[in-house]
Formats: sequence, C-alpha cells, structure tokens
Amino acid sequence: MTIRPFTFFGGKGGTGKTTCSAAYALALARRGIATLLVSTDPAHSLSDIVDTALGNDVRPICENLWGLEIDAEAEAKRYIGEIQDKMLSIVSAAIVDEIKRQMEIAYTSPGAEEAAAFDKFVELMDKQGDPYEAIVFDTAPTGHTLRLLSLPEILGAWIESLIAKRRKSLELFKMAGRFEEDLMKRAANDPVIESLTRRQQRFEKSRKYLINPESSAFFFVLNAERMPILETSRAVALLEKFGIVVGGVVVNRVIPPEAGDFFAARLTAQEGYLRDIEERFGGGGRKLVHLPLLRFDVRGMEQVSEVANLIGGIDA
Amino acid sequence: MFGRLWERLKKLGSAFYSGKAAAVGEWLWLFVVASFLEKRYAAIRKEAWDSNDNIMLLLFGDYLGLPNPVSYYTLELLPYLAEEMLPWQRRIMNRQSVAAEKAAQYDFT
Repeated sequence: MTIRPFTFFGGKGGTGKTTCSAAYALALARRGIATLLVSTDPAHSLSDIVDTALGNDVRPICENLWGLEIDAEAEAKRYIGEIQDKMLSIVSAAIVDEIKRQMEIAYTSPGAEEAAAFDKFVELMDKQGDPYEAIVFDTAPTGHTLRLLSLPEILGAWIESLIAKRRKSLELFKMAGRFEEDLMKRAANDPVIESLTRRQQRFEKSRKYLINPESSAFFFVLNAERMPILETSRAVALLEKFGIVVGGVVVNRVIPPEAGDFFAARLTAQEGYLRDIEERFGGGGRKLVHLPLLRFDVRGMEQVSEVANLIGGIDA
Repeated sequence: MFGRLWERLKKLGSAFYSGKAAAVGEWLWLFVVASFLEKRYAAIRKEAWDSNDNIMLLLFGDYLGLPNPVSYYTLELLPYLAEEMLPWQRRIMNRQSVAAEKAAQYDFT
C-alpha cells in the first residue's frame, strides 16, 4: 500500500476531527512512517489531545510522530518583517518610514492570517518527504478550511491577470522608450513580474498536490446526525468542484447496540442516518469508517492509540 | 520665421561643405524627431504611465479602500514599488476631472 504524503481531516465543529487526525497520524507512525501532525485551526486543540505542549515549531510527540500548531499571527509577523528588511536594502529609510503605515493596514486586512496559514501550509507541502513521509492536517471547521483549500484556484487566477496587465504595461514602456534609456531600463527584467510569477508557481504547485489523488486525500469526520450530514454533503460537493479528492468519511460517536434503554430511540434514528451516510458518501471509491461512542473522551496518547487501531485502515 | 530657417539652412550648408557630416546628421535627426515622432511617442508614454497607475491600483487598491483578495501577497512587491507609491497616491487622490483627462489623450491641434 502506498502512503499518501498529505492527509486532511475536516468536518463540522465538534465532530472529532482532532481525535481522528491524531489517531490516524499515530497509526501511520506505528507503521514506521515518519509523520507530522499539523493543526491549521486558529483555535488549536491538538496539544490537549496528544497531551504534549505543541507550538509554531515542530516538536516530537512520540516515536516517528511530530506535531505542529500553525500560528498564523506569528507567521504573518515574520513575513512582514522580512519585507521590511528587504525594503531597507532597496529604498531609502525616509520612504520606508512613509510606507510603514501602509504595511500596518495590510497586516490587519481581512484574510491576512488566512494567507499566512496558507503560506505555511504550502511550505510544508513543498518539503514533501523530507524529513516527513506523511503529513496529517487537522483542519479548522468546514468554512475556514474550504476557503483555505480553494485559495490556490482563486488567487492563482487573480495573480495571473495581474501578471498579464503588468506585461502589457511594460510593453507600452518599451514602445514609448525607444529613444529613452531609463524607460527601457524599466521594461527589462521587472522584479514585479518575477515575484508575481514565483507566487503563481507556488499556488500552481500546491494545487497540483491537492488535486492529485496519489498525493493527497481529504477525509470528513461527521456524526450520525442530521446537520453534520447536510453540511458534509455540501462540503464534499464543493471540494470536488475544486478537484480535491474526498478519500472517505469517518462516522464518529456511533452509538453501540449495547448502549441501553436511554439510547434506544436514538439508536433507531441513527440507523436511518447511517443508511443515509452510506448512500450519500459510500460511492466513488470513498472509504467509510465507523468509530463507536466511547465511555470517556479521548485524551493522551494511550487512548489515541486505541482509536488508531480503528482508523488506521482508512487509506487502504 | 522663414528668415531664421534660412539662417539655419545657410549654417547647415556651410557645415556640410566644411565636412561636419555628423552635425548635419544630428540636425536632420532632431528635425525628424521634433516634427514627426515626439508627439506620437508622447501619446504612448502617457498611455504607459496611465497603465502603470492602473496596475498600482490593482496591486494596492486596499490602501484606498478597495478590497483586494491578494493584498497580503502584493505586500512583497512593495520594496520594488515603494518609490512610486507616494506620487501615485497623490495623483490618484487628486484627480480633478475625468473628462479633461480623456480629452488630454487626443490631439486637437
């Protein structure tokens, strides 16, 4: 069986994404695969489940398993710091001072943290196989993640049109500058086009990873209840529209038959929902896994390890 | 006017006879540029700078209040465009009349 380098777990809030991703990552690690477990959710809960303090740098959890919680704010700060350093080496300090205010605006603009998280995400995907053979992403609740995954498509097209516009403008400068050297200099090797093209290539690359079923798959975690089913089927449709492969569905907290009288009514309702899930998501080579409702909530690697036994085969 | 042109031509003639071909060539070249080319190139030059302003607007429109989905990524272009930034802002916020700007594109003389 080949191991996909990237696995995503997503779904509605509170359905058990973090537990499932931790369990699956552990299952991979136990097979001897160097695995990195990454949380992209701004409200991290990975540390709480694996019982190890994680942060914005990679830290070991257990053998073959490392953890990382992406801190979008810190990433954005680092990015802007780099730009400021670069600016100081290109333009005069007086201009940098004038421009600082504008950088603050960009820093607080909507989408900045999302973009920072996405950048980190692309950076991780770029390091494929070195040193981690598999990366498991514990993503934020559906909306945030869908936006994150659709970014390469949307921003890629935008940047492409920016490049085309810039090219056209430089062409004009070339025409106008036939007898003027400084206009000519403007048009030759433009750093703006260079930088935009680099961005576009990064988007293109991450998109290629995302839509290749051999390199990544998305797994939805849901409960056998009405709302998670509806939300998941919308999300599946959207991801498939963007060409991202949905590898399977994990039905979490399935009430076992021995649950007792109190759950009797829920149990009958659940049967209907499970059939519904089977019908909606069962086709197309997608894998279905049921995880039973446990007596306790999952905490610490020992308990995660029990879940890992159940979820390990989802990539088969 | 014709008097001055005649003077110039006489000078040119003497330059020609005294073997200053380079000076004659330059005079002819300036004549061609000023009477036929310059006006046309000025139009292209204006178009080029206008298109440059439009690109600045697409890249940094969020500083003027226009939302831009890639503003986080255009930030990294700032080091290269920082010098153009302030003059651009002054120009774009100081546009008086769109009709006058449009009229300036045409040659009415």
